[in-house]
Formats: sequence, C-alpha cells, structure tokens
Amino acid sequence: MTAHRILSDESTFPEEMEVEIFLRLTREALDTDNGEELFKVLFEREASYSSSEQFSSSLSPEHIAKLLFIERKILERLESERRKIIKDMDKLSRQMKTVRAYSAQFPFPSMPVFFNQTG
Amino acid sequence: MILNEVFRDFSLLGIKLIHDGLINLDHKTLKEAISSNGDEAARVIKTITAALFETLPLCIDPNSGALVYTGKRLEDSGDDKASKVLAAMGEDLEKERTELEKRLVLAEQLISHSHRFIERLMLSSEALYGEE
Repeated sequence: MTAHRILSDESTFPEEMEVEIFLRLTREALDTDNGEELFKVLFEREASYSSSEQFSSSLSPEHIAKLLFIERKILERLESERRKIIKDMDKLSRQMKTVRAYSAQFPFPSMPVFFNQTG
Repeated sequence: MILNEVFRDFSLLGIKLIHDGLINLDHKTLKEAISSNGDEAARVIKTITAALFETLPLCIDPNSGALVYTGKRLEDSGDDKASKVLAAMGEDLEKERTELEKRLVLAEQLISHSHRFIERLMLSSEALYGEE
C-alpha cells in the first residue's frame, strides 16, 4: 500500500473540504525533495489541521489506519530532515573552528617538534 | 627585549636579520663559533631559533614554502585583507549556523506535532474498536 494510493482515496472522507486540504498538503509534503518546502507545507497543513482538530474522531477505522500509515511516512521524512540538519551543523562547526584557528601570519599549524629545545 | 637578546646572540654567531626579512650569514664567524664550541653554538641556534619562531612575525609563504619575515604582525594592524576576509567568512558561517538552528527548531516542532497527531489517531482507532 503506497501513500499515493491512499491519498488518491480522499474523496471518500467525511468533512470533505477540510480533509481534502489536509490530504493535498500531506501529498505535497511527501512529494517535495526540498526541506524548506517540506516545512512550509507542513506548517500550512498544521494550520488547516488545527481548525479541524476533531476530524479524526469522525473517520472510519479504515481511514484512520490509512492516515496513520501516511503520517508515519511524514514522521520518517521529518526525522531524516532533522538528522540532515544536525549533520550540517556539525560540518559547519568544524568549518568555524578551522576559520578561527587560521591565521594569515601562520597559515599552517605550528610544528613544535620542528625545533628541539632540549639540546 | 627578548628580541634584542635574540639578535645579540645571533650576531655573536654571525647571523644577522636584515631588510626585507632576509637573514645574512657570516660564514666565517659561524664556522669559528661552531668549531670552537659546537655544542654550545648548536644549543644557542636551537634556542634562539625557537624564540624567533615564537616571537618574530614570521610566516610560511604558501607559494614558495619559504619562511618569511613579515616585518609587522598582520593581526596587530587589524585592517589587513586577510583579517577582513576571515571576519567575513566567520560572519557568513555564523549566519548559516543561526539558520540551521532555526530549521532544527522547526523540524522538532513538526516532529512533535506529528507524534501528537499519530497519538490522536491511535486513540480514535482504539475508541472505535472499543465500541465494536
């Protein structure tokens, strides 16, 4: 069962308009490869969802199961986006450390072993 | 003060720092110093070279690999090109980090919303199955 097939089933939901918007935005979120777009669409979806918070209570068990399946896909995608951001932050921290350590006066790290001061 | 001592010790061995960061070696004086007291000369050279390396504005020329006397500490002037470039790079990276931090907050917020939605769906499902 794919998320796309479930999402194409939207017309059978009750409170059609609200659910349709919710599902359209969910589909858009799953379709996009862009992290920023994903966040934008999900926040938009969040707004539509907030206005119909109780809509899950009027769904049939089959539709709830389908929505659960889709939402787990969304969660998976968000977790992967979060991991990506953390990885980028780690990379950035290393770059910042390198820039701070760099000096035009000593472009290369000092080599204490170059001179033996014990002699 | 330290540099003066370094220059004096160096000149005793026939080594002089001259203009444009060049070092002039008086081979004869150096040879005499080494032959009369080699160990002491070697020790002095090692010590003062280490002191020079730490205190003099020397840098390694990335193009030639030569050790160059820059005459003036670049960092002291604060307005040199390299400092400006580094400052700009640091600023850009800082901005990028702020953006990433904001995105992380958004991601975590959305993850939390998603968890809540899943929970609500599961509760609805349980309630429905409970009724049956």
